[in-house]
Amino acid sequence: MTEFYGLPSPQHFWHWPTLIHFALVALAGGAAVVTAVAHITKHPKVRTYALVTMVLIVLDLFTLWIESPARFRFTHVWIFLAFTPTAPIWLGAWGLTISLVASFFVWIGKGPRLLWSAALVVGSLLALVYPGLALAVNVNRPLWTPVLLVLFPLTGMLTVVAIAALFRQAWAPRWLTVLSLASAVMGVVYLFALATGAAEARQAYAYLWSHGGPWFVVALVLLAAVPALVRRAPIAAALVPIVGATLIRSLIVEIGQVQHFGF
Amino acid sequence: MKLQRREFIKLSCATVGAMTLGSGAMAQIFPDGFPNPFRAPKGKWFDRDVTTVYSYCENCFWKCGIKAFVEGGKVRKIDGYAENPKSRGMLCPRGQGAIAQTYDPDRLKRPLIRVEGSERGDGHYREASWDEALDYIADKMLAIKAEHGSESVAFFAHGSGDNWFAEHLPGAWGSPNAAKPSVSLCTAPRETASQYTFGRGIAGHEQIDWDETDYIVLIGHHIGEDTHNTQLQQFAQALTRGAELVVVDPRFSTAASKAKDWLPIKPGTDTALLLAWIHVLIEEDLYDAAYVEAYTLGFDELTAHVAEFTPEWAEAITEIPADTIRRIAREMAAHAPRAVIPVNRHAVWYGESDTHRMRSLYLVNVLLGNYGVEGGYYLCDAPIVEKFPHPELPLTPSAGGCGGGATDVVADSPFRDSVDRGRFFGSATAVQEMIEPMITGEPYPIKGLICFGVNLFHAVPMVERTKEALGHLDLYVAIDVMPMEHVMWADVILPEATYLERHDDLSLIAHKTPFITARFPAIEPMYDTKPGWWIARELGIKLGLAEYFPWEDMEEYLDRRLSSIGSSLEAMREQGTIVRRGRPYLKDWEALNRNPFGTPSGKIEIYSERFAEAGLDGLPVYLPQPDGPAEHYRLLYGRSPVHTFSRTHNNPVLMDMHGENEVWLNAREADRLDLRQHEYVWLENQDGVREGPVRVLVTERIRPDCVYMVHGFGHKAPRMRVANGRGASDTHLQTHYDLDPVSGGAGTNNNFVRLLKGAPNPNHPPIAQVANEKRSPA
Amino acid sequence: MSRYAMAIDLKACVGCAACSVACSVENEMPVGTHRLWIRNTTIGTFPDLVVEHRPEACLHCENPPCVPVCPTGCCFVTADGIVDLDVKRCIGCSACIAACPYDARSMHPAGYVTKCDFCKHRVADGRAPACVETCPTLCRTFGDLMDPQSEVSIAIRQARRVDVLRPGLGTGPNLYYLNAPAKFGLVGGEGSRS
Ligand code: SF4
Ligand code: SF4
Ligand code: SF4
Repeated sequence: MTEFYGLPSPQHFWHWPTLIHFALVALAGGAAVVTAVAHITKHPKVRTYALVTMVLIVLDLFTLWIESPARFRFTHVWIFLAFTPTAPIWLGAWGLTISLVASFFVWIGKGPRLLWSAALVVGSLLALVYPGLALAVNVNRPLWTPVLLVLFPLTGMLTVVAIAALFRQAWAPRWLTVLSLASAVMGVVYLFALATGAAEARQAYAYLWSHGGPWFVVALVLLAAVPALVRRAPIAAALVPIVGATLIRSLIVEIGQVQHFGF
Repeated sequence: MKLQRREFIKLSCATVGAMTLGSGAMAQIFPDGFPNPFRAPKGKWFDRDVTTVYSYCENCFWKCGIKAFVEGGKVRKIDGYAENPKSRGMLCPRGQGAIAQTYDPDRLKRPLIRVEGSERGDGHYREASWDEALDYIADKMLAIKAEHGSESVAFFAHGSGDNWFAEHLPGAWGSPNAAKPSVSLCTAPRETASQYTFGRGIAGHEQIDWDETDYIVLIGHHIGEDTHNTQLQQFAQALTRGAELVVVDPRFSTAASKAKDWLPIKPGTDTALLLAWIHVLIEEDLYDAAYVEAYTLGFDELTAHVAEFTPEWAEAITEIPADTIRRIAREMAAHAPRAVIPVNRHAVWYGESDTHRMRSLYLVNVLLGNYGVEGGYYLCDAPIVEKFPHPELPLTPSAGGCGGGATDVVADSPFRDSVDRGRFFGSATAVQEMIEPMITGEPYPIKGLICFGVNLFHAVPMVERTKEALGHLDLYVAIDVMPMEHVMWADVILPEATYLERHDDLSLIAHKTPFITARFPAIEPMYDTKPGWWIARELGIKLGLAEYFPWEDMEEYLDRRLSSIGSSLEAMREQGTIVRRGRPYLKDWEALNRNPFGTPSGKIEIYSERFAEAGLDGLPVYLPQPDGPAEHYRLLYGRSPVHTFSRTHNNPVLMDMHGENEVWLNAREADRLDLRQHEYVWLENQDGVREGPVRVLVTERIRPDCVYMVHGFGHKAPRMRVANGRGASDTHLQTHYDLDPVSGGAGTNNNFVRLLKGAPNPNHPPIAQVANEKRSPA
Repeated sequence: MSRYAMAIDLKACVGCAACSVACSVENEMPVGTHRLWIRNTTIGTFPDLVVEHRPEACLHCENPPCVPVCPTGCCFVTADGIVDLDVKRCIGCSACIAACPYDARSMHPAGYVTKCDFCKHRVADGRAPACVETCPTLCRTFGDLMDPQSEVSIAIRQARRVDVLRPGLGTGPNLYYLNAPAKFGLVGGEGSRS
């Protein structure tokens, strides 16, 4: 029996607006990657992709600003006045900013091509990877395991490819299958690693299971179903992984905030 | 909202205009100035100009010396200070959190008069000036006096101002019916027992020589949950020093968690345990024979008396193994005289049994030879400061106090005896015995009540009876800081300034080092509130008693009193506390050739002739207590470390720590009743009175035959927006009490409750939310 | 340069929360936000029980995981080992809250993170932190670990048993718990059997 006088910091520090951010940043980072590849391969639709990337990044930054408790103090400038490369959010902020600037120049078609390629590669990778990194660095939170370093970029790419498929980009369906399956496999690996891990990981696994675990399974089933759908129902094949990927990401962010079992 | 483009432009121009033009509008939009990421948020109070004011705390009545830190016209922080023997530089949580009461928007703000034609309890009031309110009271009091005599106005008082309202004013007015709940609802048995054993009272600051003791036995004494500051400090220091601790309690209290032995005694059987200890100490020749010989009378009677009270006898009663009883007795003796069973404060448990219990507790200490000896009970007297000269009061009410006993009744008084006189043996008045006469008019009617800081519905058992009694009064005045439920029944409500806003009389503390503290206002009274002394004086003047209040204000009063000891108000303002040398031990008294024992024999009276003459037992006996009806649990109650009585439950800072009480229930009983942790239940007592909903605390920390709750919650006072409806009130379940025929104490532990499933979850919003909503005026 | 640390003797602590209230008032914490709180845990079955009263706050970790994740450099460690923050730079991203294994950081309603700073304004004046000064069981000591004669060094040296929270994480806490009441140390800590 444990009782408190005064409560420590509440278990949940990130709320639903943060989940929206995690969904948007997946799209933004993924789109930046697509733009980077398109720019390097001189894909004919690169300017469209760049524009979409810009819109997504701006949307995401706007969400972040809206949900920030410091929104009217404008302290965010400090991110750009500081050098804190150990901070995933700093890396992500720079990744998104670089991607935004590079995309803008790609869109208007100005500036040195090589520079924008390099910027897009670096920026987009940072933007894609940092959400998983921002979770995985917290070794104190047992549900945020290193597997997320792979799972989050995969699901991020998956959502953006799914959107591309919705808009009938010819290259998309192929990647849809691959990324869906890869995400599903990593999802299973994630669960397996928890279930077979040390005591704390197993307790966390049980916690995950009792706090929305079945939804996790639903998400995995959705992802695994994508290859079967790609031919027969292309629209569903695009919508289903968006739901699946977003569900997995949201569950992990939301439930994973818990820490110190039996402590 | 759909705005046309033109309107929108107009609107934004207006906004920009307002921002550039009026700094007021600007401040409204950006209270911290225009956003600037390079400017730190507004600094804290301690970075600005801070002044310090000496006072003493009033969040419980331990009266710790404090320093109030004032900045920008507000009290920002309170700390103790090292020179004060009560706080010694430290404060308990209530003392630390007390500021929030002064700044509570729910406070009573100006005098209120009940709307003519409304019923008491309806809560319809109109605002009045002090003049009108006091005239109203004075007129009614004089009318009552004319019809029934001055004795028909009763005075109940609790708090630093209680000397004005339970002694000075009733003394000047002429009513012996003045009472402090701190006696008969708290300490009466221990005071009476002490007076008749030692010829001395127990001090309000219990005189346990913690600093010297090596072995401590606590009986139902909740140190740790009771955070009386100095006592807790010294208790903890004793433990840290390595003193051994034994705790006797049906509940695994905080103190029990520090003990080497916890004796989960059957409730109501403590006297049997104490008698068995006396038996072992005598039978095994473990007592301090020299001490007994030198200082006591009646040891032989005691020896004969306890012969039959063997540990085996006690085991059958207390459910504590006889071996354990023997072992603890031997351990106490091995450490004697540095072994002590401290008195606890709230001693009214079972009525008649209480004085017996306190007497037997003292007798164990006496046999250990520790009274007046290092490591036991030290001897203390309050410092003497002369009164402000005034004509002698026509009457000295016997209100007593939480320590120090009561003055004896003057035999040839021109006034009638108090209405409770004769119901019990002790001399101090008993607040709960003054309720019935309001209803029955016997022995004579009580028609008026001046209630200063006494929570009639959370302190006095039999709440329904109290409510009925209030209905019979011609005048009921409540003087308080908060709109407590009982306050909102009064005919006239007088808002008192808080302790941070007022002077009070000197606090003269009986202590190992007797000392004097003063209270200085840290800020001006907020709203239209007034200090207690001012209210008493103004009312006195209106009653034609001006001669008894010959001072203009408290500064003059205090200065005059302090000058009698060679000090002054100004000196005190700089100093806060004046500490005197004490004479704590028998040897100090003997060196002065004085006898500390004020008994007729001048000895410790183990056998009390005076009790025997009055037809009472000359030696303590064990009186069995009834078990409750089937499926009922004995209702025990106690304290939370962050709350005082029922006074602190609208303080958001303290409520944020502990915002509702729980009913503690043994885990196996909870299984049997199919109750889950924190499930809400109703409590229903032996008389069918229901209280709650209240959460169940399923715990291993209590015996299966009783339940426990923290006292003071369960306010039914809508104007107290934090307190209202949170938790349950034990007092409302105390529809029965056992009057101690010796001390007048009201024992309330013979109430029993059932736990009824299916109470709704009241879904209280978090305290923080309520506190925030409260910032906007109601 | 000092290495500030705090020690709490759990044999004496009664969980009264005076420290927590003092902290909140001193540091103007709004109701509901706490830099310091008390965890009271009961283990065992009637009548063999242990109750641990454990005040918790920022441990001023030697290797604070909360600092490197801060994107604006708002979180830092002072030369004296106080893990501090410059609220002017805080963007309220909660990264540090996520990284703290001890729930020691919370979001102030004004939109920045707050936590125990060892009452640095008092320490700078040579006074004890508010919680240490007020504790009515005198179970708290504060001081410089580099000074073997400081109160905190002495208290730690003399303790029968010294524990820190979650030592396995390698955070190097500077909040020490002395004389834990349970035989195995802190309740619910690593290696606990609650
Ligand atoms: S014990 Fe606490 S509430 Fe009582 S006077 Fe002292 S500081 Fe105030
Ligand atoms: S004030 Fe002292 S005794 Fe009370 S909870 Fe804090 S550390 Fe423990
Ligand atoms: S306890 Fe938490 S906030 Fe304090 S230094 Fe350690 S990680 Fe940082």
